[in-house]
Amino acid sequence: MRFGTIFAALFVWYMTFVNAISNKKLLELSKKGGNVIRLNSKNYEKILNTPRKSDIVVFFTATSPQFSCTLCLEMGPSYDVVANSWFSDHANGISKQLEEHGVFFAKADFDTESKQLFSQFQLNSVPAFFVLKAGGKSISDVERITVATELGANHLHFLADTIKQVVQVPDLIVYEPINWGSSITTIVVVAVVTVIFKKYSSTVFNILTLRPLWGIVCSFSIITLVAGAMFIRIRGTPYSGVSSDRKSIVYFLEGQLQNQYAIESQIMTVLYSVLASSFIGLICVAPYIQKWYKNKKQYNRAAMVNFSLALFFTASIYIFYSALIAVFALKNTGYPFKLFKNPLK
Amino acid sequence: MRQSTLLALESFQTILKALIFVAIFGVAISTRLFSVIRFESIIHEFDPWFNFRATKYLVSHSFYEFLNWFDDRTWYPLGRVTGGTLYPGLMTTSGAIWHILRKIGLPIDIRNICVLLAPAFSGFTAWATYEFTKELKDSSAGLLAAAFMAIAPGYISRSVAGSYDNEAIAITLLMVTFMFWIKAQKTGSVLHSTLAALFYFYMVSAWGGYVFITNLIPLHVFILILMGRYQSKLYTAYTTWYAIGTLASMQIPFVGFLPIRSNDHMAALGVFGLIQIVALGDYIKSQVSSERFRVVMMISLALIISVGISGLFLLTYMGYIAPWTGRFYSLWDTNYAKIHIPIIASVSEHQPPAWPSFFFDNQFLIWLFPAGVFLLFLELKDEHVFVLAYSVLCSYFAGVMIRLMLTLTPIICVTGAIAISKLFDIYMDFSVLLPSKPVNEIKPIETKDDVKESAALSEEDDDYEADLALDYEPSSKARWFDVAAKAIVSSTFLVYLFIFVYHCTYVTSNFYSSPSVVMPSQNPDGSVALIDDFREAYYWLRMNTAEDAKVAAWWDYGYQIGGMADRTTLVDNNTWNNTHIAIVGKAMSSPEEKAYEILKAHDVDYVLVVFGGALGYSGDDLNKFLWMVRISEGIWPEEVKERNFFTDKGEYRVDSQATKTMKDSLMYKLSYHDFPSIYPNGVGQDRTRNQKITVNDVGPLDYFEEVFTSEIWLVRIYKLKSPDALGRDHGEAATFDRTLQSGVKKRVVKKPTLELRV
Repeated sequence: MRFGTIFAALFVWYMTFVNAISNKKLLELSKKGGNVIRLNSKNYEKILNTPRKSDIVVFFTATSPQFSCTLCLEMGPSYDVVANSWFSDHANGISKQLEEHGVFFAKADFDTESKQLFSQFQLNSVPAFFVLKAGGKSISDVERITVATELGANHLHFLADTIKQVVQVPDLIVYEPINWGSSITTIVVVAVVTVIFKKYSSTVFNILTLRPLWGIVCSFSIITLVAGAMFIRIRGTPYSGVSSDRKSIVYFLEGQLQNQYAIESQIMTVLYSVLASSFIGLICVAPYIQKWYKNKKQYNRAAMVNFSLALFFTASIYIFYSALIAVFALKNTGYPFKLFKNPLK
Repeated sequence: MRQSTLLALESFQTILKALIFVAIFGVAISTRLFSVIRFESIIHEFDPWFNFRATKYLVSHSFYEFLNWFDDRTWYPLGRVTGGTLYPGLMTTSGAIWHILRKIGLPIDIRNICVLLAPAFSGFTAWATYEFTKELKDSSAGLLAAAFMAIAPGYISRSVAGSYDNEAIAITLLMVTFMFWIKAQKTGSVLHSTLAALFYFYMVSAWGGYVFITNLIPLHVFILILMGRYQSKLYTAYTTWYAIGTLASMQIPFVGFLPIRSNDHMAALGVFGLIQIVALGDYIKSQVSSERFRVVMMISLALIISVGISGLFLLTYMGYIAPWTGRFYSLWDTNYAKIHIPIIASVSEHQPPAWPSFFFDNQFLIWLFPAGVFLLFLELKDEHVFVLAYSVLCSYFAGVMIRLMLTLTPIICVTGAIAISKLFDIYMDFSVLLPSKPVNEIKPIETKDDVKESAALSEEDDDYEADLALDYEPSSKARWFDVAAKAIVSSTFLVYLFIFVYHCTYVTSNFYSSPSVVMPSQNPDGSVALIDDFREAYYWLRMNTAEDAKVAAWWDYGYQIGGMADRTTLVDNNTWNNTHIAIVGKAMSSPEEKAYEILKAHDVDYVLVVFGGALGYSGDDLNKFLWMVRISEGIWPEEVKERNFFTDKGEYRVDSQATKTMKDSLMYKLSYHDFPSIYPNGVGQDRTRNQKITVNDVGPLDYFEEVFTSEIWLVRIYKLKSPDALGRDHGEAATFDRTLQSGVKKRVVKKPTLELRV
C-alpha cells in the first residue's frame, strides 16, 4: 500500500518531467495559429493538462453564425489584438522582466471538434475566459475570469485591463491597431471629391443647389434618426435574435418599447420612407400630372389620371400605415388600435 | 352687397377661430388632468418636489432672500447655494400667480397652483404654435399645429398636472421665442426681436435647455448668410436679439458670465461678429466693383475664420473660456458619458430612445414629419430654413437622448400640420361642385385674410391656384372623378386624424398620468389599489425622527425626502457633486462595518433604501445598485470593483449564487434584512429579479437597526446604532451576543408540548 503510494508519486513526478509542456512548444503552437493557439478536443490535453511554466489565457467562443453570439464576434478581434501586442514586444512569448515567465493565448471555437473541450470546462455560456496560471500542474488548476462584457462597448479596453490584472506581468502593453483602412478611404474620397469639384465645378454647384436633392437628403436622415439609428449605434444591438426555442429567427423584440434589434430600424426606415413618399406623391405628383393634362386640354383624362394616382397613393398609405400600426402593436402589447383586421382570423 | 358679404364672412371666420381656440385650450388642459382625477392633486416624481419646495420658500420669504438662499438641509454637510444654482423662472412664475390671485381676492393654495401650472401653460404653447405656424404657411395650418401641440403625447409626458418641472413652462417659452424670432426675421422689426429677446430671457431663467435657442437662432442666421440671403432685416433682427438677450440672460445668477465664457454660447457670439462683417461687406459691395470685392471678401473671410478659430482654441486652452459641459459632449460623442461621467449615463432620461418611443409620442405625425420637411424644401423661404435646421438637428438630439424628444415634438407638430394642411388645401377643396361664379367670389376673401402670404407665394403655386380657378366647363364624368378622388383622400386622412386623437388620449391616460409617488396596482379581484408606501415612509420620517436628523439615501430620493419628509439629505437629484454621491455609493457597496464608519463620519442618523422585491417594483435600489458601484469605482477604483459584484459567469445575482462582496454589501443586507423569514420555509421570492433568497444568504445586521418598513416593504428605513454602552465595536458585540444566545438555545432546546386549548 505504502509502496504503491510512493510509486505513484514517483510516477507522477516522472511524468511531469517528461510531459511538462515547454515554453518552446507553446511558442511553436502560437506561431502556427497566428499568435493564438487553436484548441480542439484532440490537442487540449497535451497543451492544458500538463504542468506549465507560463500563464495560458484561454478564450472560449462560438463564432459560427448559427449561435448568433454577437458578443463573441465583438470580443474575438480584441482578443487577437491583445495577443498580437504581447508577441510584438516579446517574440518568444517570455516576459522580459520576469524570469522564464511566459504568457500564451489560446482560443477554442465551439464546433463538433471541440465539444469535448467545452464539456471539460462545463461551459454553458460564451464568451468565457480562463487563465491557467504558471506553475499549475493540470487542467483543473484553472481560474475563470470575468470580463465586463457589454454589447457595443470598447471591449479591447476592458479585456486588456482584466488580463493585465490577472496575469500580473508588468510588461504587457496593448497597442491599439491604427485603422489604416478608414484613413486611406478618407484620403481617397477627399482627393476624388476635390478633383471632381475642380473639374466640373459648375455642374457640382448646380447639383449642390438642387433643392429637392437637399430635401430628400434631409428627410431621409430624419427618417433614419426617428427609426432608431442612434439607438443601434450607441447600444450596438444585435441585428436580429433567435426565438426562445432556438428554432426560428426573431426580427422584433416583442413587448419592449425601450429596446429593439437593428433590423427593426431598417424595417421602420422602409415603412416611413414609403409613407412619406406616398404622401408627397399625393401633394406633388398627382396634381402636377393633372395640370399637365389640363394644359393639353384633356380634361377627362386629367381627372381619370388624378383619380387613379390619388387612389394608388391612398391605398399605399393605408397598407403601409396599417402595417406600421400592426408592428407597433407587437412592441406595445395591448395597443388597442388597428387599421386592418384579418378576416380569416 | 358684396362688401357686406365679405365682412360677414370675415367676422364668421374670426368667431370660428375663437371657438376653435377655446376648444383647443379646453382639450389641452383637460387631457392633462387625468392624474388629478385618478389620484389627487399631488406633485409628481422627483425634480418637481424640489421646485415645489423652492416655490414654498419663495412665497414665504422675499424674492431677494430667495435669490440668496443657502440651503443647509441638502448635501449635508456641504450645503447648497440654492439661490445661485437654480433656474428661478418656474418658481417666480407660480409665485407671481399666487400673489396676483391673492390680490384679486382668490387665495389659492400654492400646491394647487404648482400642480395646475403645466396644463395652463400648455394652452399658451398651443397658441404660440399657432402663431409660429401661421408665419410659415397660413392660419389653417396654424390651427392644425395648435391642435396637434395640445394633444401630442411627446409634450404631455412632461406637462401633465402635477409635473411641476422646468420643462412645463420652458416649452411654452421656447415656442413664443421662436415665434417672435420668425416674425422679427421676416419683418426686421425691432419690436419683435426685442420681444424675442425678452422671452429668451424668460426662457433662460426657466430651463437649462435655453442653450438650444442660443445655438439654433445663430445657426439659422448663419445658414441664411451661407445661402446668400443676407438682408438688412436679418441684421436688425439678429443684433437686437443677441444684444438684449445676452445682456438680459446674464442677470440670472446661475448663468452669470457664461454667455461670454462658455463654449456653448460661442456660436452665437461668432455669428454676431460675422453678421457685422457681412453687413460691412454688403456696404462695400454697393460702393466698389464686384471683381475687386470678391478678392477682398475671400481674403478677409479666410483671415477672420482662422483668427477666430485659433483664438477660440487658445482662449479655451488658457482657461478663459470654459470648455463644453459634459452633457453637451455626450450629445456628440455618444460613448463619452459612459466612460467619463457615469452619473450622466446613469439617468434613464439620458438614454437613447428606440423607435417605438418616437411612434408612441407622435403617432402618425412621425411619418408626416419627413414629408413636411421635404415640402418645405420645395418652397424654402427664409423662415423655412429655420424649421429645417431645427428639424434635422433636433431629430439627432432626440435620437441620442430620450428627454430631448420634448423639444422635437413642437417641430413635428408644426411640420406635420403644414403637410396635412397642404393636403387639405388640394383635396378638401370641393369648389368644383359649386356653380362656377361663386368660385370667383370666394377666392378674394381667402386672399384678403392673408394678403402677405399670397403675395409671397411662389410661382408654381400661383399657377396652380390660377388653374383651379380656370372657368372651363368640365364634363360631368371628369367632375365626378375629381370629387371622388378628393373625397377618398380627405376622408382617409380624417380617419387617421381621428385615430390620432384616440391614440393621444390612450397614451396620456395609461402611461403619462401616474405621479410615480403613488402607484396604481390591481387587487386580485381587478379593482384598483394604490401603493402609497413612499408617502407612508416619508411621513414616518417627518413624524418620528428628530428635526435635524440626517438621512442617507441614493440621490434619486433626495428631493422627495427634502420635500415630503423635510429632513436633511446627503445627496439629491441636483447631482452637482459627484464625489459626494460616490461617498453614498461607496457606503452602500461596502461591508457593514466600513459603511457604518463612512456614514458615521458624515453624521448620518438614518439610511433609507427602496426595495421592490416583495412587490415586483423594478425601479428599486438593488436594480440601481450597479450605478452606485460604478460611480464610486470612478472615485475609488482600488476599493470598489464592479467585477466583484458579478458572479463567475458574469451574471448579476442576488440569490445563493451571489458573490461574497454582493452579500456583504450594505445595500444587500438592508434590502433583504428579515425578508426570507416572512415567507414559509424561510425562502423569500424576490419578485423583481425572480430569484430565491434563503435565510442563509442574508447575513446578520449588526451596525444598523430596522426602524421602519412600509406596508408592502417598498421603503425600508434603518437607524445607525448608537455607540455600544461598553465601548465595544458593534460587530464584536453582536457576535458575542450570538454565541451567548446559541449557548442558551442549546439549554432550552426542550420545549414543553402545549395542548391546544379550546
